[in-house]
Amino acid sequence: MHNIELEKIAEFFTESLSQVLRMMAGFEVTSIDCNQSDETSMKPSIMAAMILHGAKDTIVSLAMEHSTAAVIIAYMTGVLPEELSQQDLFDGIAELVNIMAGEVKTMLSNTPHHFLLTSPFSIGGQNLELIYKESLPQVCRRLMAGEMEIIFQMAHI
Amino acid sequence: MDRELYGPFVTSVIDIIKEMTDVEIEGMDSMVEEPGEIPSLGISSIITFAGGKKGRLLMDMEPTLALHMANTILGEQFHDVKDHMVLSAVAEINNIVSGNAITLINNRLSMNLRLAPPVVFAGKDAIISIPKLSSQTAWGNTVHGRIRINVAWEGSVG
Repeated sequence: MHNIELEKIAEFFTESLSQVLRMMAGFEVTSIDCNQSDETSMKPSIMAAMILHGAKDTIVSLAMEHSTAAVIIAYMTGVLPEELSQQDLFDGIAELVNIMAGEVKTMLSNTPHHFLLTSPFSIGGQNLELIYKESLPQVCRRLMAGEMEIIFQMAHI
Repeated sequence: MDRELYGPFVTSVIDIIKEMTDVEIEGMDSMVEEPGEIPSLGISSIITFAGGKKGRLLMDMEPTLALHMANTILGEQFHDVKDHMVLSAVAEINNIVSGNAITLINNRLSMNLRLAPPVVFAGKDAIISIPKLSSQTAWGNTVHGRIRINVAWEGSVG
């Protein structure tokens, strides 16, 4: 469902994520609408998500392959990718969602779109996919930095 | 305080599942600290709450139990645990279980907690991780498969 407000708020999130990745890891990130891009061959194996309490409850999520998570978290923590445990990756991308949501929360604090954060959670598995009811307003963006790819999704629930 | 924040979820999951599906949960007598990653039994639903304190309930079960409960509630025969109706049924059970527990907690402790809609996912060998939160798990057995609930609260409880 097309929803201009959700699209605008999603822009805040992807911009915030791009900025975090630029500052903490030195990546230049480009973002495109999932529907406007070719089907990706990326098979997400790790995902972090957070529910946002607001006038409309919303879920935001980041999904990527383990190798992408390892590179990002390695840059963020200064620990070599091969030395990161699975728990480090789960914690790291959940923290990424936390940072991103915290920044957008501040930006929207005095607007009708203000929201409360909840605890982020991570899921690991093969070929992860988030599925929403089709009628729900939702946004999907592919964020790319070199060969790395992250899927950002946001939906009212 | 500790018991008042965790106990209502155990009571609620036993009572609501019995009431809605006539399935008896046995063995859910105690809760144990859950360290780090939680390997899913097959189908899981997470519901978060915020207000006076932030927390979340993870309800995790074997696919056979999820299918039985969905078939009973919806009066149809589903065979695929990833069927949208099965996932919705599990999410709805979690919603009712959490709503019931949160109402009890709000009434007793005036915490003004509010639920977010549940998120449900299914998959083999999925691992769930909630960083920086200590959590308590209660395991239960039914004739249709195992179930567990995992409750976590942010900050100190006690």
